[in-house]
Amino acid sequence: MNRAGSGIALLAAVTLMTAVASEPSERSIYQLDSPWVEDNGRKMQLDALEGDMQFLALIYTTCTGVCPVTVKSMQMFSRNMPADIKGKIRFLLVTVDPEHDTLAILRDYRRDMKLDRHWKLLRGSPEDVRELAAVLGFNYEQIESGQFAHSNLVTILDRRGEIVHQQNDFASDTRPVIEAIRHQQGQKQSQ
Amino acid sequence: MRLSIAAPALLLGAMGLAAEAGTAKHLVRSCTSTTVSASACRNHEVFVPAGVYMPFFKTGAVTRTVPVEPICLNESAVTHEEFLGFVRDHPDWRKSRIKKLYAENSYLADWQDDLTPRPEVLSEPVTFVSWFAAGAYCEASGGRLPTVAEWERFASGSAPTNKPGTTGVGGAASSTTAPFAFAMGSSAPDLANTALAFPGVWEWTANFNSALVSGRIGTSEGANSSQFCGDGIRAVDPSNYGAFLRYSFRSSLRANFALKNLGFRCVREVS
Repeated sequence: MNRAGSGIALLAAVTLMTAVASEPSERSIYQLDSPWVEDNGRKMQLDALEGDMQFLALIYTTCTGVCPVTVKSMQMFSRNMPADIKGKIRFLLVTVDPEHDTLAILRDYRRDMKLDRHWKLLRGSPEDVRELAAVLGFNYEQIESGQFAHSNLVTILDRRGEIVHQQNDFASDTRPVIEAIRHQQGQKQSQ
Repeated sequence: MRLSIAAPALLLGAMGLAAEAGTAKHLVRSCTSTTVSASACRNHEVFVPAGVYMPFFKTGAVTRTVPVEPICLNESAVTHEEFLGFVRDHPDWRKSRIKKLYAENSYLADWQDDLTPRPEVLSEPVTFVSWFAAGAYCEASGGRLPTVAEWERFASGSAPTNKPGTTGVGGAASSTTAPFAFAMGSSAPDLANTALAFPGVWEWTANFNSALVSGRIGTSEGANSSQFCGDGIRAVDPSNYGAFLRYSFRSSLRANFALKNLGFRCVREVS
């Protein structure tokens, strides 16, 4: 039983690697070829994220409402993940306010929020952010100087960039995210 | 001169949407002395002079107005025939080839195959098109999708008091029997004498996903607090049923949706 299980796991791993090596899947958001810049100045496209699961949130640094709560919850989550999924997911923050959130401001944000190397902070053009948000089903609009009305939505992407889980109000319940990651890990366990 | 612009803007803030039509006209008159002119537009495009957009939602006591730049606008929604030309030239957007990220399975559902729309609807608006496909079409034709601000500026010409059950609303949109035709657009007052037409479909906008609508519009609670950040969003005029429908509809969309009553038109920026 055990051996059969590991055989299936191995097969799954090989299949997965094959999938990663080939073209992005038809539902992968990594098909978006928009250019992005990390807070450290490095240019990238989304398909560079292939290979790791991603925990994605859209934020802006001057947000005084729910975004700091979301980011803090993600951070707390990253520190307290159950052992079986620890290190299995990366964290990705994309600013919806690229006009204000320059790379320097994003670097300050990284420092102030104490985000480690497992976190990427991305900045893109307003049009490309709008497109990414549209793909995710994340709604936002600038409502007055500096502030946005926006969805409170986090997204889990699998290794190929397909959306495998989305959730409003992550701060109040982290379990579905844990389950989603476990499911992807092929080690979903009964509690 | 400066006063004549500022005063209506203040009035607009105080009076809500009802003031929009008259004020927009006024502003247009104030602005048309610039170099921009209708001659920049092509056949089957309508020149939309600069105007103002009054967002449907406000967050505080003050109602904002947003200036809208002049544009050249498709007279009507893009037709099956026009879209056929596009997919001929751009095979990636044919129904058998389109990637699932860019359109759900119902993409061009009423076409018999990749290059065969039903002959009897060739000159009618193409629907079952996703936001991506609509945007790609516009880009290929040298334009883009209109923003919500632009769309509302040229298309929200109907009286702001449309209510369920009212008849005869929506002006130009009445050529169709669509039950929500009154909400699907009618020419702004200063465009009433142009060829601008609203054939009775909802239309994609570039930033359709800017709308934040939940079940409690018009109250100080605004959007559901667990789903949205940005407390206290309220409709400027909750009695504007057409606008309420449009914003609700937009907020329910995803970029890959391909729906029976959802088409699009393009705009081009006037340089």
